[in-house]
Amino acid sequence: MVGGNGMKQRHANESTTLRDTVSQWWDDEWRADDSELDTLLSDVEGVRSRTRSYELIGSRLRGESLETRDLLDSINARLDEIPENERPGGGKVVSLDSARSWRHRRIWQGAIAASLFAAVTAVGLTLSTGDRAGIEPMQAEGPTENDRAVMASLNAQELPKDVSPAAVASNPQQSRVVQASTAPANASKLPDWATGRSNSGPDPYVVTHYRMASPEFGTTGPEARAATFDQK
Amino acid sequence: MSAEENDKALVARARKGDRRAFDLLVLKYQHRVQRLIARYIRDPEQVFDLAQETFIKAYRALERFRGDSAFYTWIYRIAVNTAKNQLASDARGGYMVSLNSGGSDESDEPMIEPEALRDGGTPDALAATEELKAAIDQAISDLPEDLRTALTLREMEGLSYDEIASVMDCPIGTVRSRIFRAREAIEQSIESLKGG
Repeated sequence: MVGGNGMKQRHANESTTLRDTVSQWWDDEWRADDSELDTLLSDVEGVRSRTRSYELIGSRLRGESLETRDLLDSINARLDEIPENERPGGGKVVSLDSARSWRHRRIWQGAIAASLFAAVTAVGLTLSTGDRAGIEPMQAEGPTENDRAVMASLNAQELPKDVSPAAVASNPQQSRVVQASTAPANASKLPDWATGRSNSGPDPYVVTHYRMASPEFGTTGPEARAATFDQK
Repeated sequence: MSAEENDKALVARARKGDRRAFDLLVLKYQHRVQRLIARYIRDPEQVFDLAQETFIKAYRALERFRGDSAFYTWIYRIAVNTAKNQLASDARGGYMVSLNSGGSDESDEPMIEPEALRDGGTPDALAATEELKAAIDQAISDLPEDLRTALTLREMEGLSYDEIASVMDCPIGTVRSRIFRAREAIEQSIESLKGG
């Protein structure tokens, strides 16, 4: 038991803010940030003394027994007997927050992996079947330095007599699918497969770019290039 | 954070190994748990043992607390199950018990009268308890009317601060202050008597 002088001394040492906080916390009326819990955690003994008083006052007002015991010491003595590795936080503990973020990460990882798999599969199937009718030629602002270098290289090559030099669409907004037609008079005409008019295999063509873009990648993915020349 | 979220935050800290956080949960709910168990068990010593057991079980199972329900709901469920298990164990041992088949975990209906915590014990203990009661009664009657009303509405009627503010037609901050000041005044009167 603590005498009246001891009580006054302890009151002087404890901040009114803490005692006020305990009163609200006891009534389930304390609205605090997680970090503010430290206010209570910093003085568990102070909280213990306050709550004992509040319990007695409330019990008396409600006409209940005053005989409930403070179990904290006996509970802590029992908890001390629990081996360290069996206590919360002693090993494999995952906090509520980190468990949520772990699940969150797993969902995103799964989504990205699925997107990547789908993209790679689509490109692989398209290239392997040769069916390019469904592929939209990329609309780009204009040839890059790399494009120009490739085209310069292609134009510089000595082509078979019946193959005209590749021509690049001059309009930057047009497709950069480049045709190497067997009919020089129709050099600017796109093949049927490229316009979607036919499902037949590719006519002689030169595809300089197919650039795969996906929101998951953020930027452009790897470029796939193919250059074939009709030999018929 | 709401009160429920405060409890969950304490659970999260306890799960990380902060024993002080679990101490706060014990301090907040130990008396309510004892009263709940006393509705099932007559023997006061058994009530205290089972209340302890309830918190030990909760501590060991903290990692399984998913936070889907409030902490107090969870701890009450553990307490009720612990009490019922004790009753079943006593029944197997030949003790006569009163099992009310209409009761459920969530029910507030008492299984038996909560006699266990009725004031009693040695003559000295009885005298001390009576002295404490008289001191609390006197301190309450000495309170200014507005403080006594706020505290009574809170403790006897279980009203929230917001509801008390409506009843007393004053700001919620005033309610908070009145209840705090009332408790401070009573506590000063009983500090030397309250013991542990």
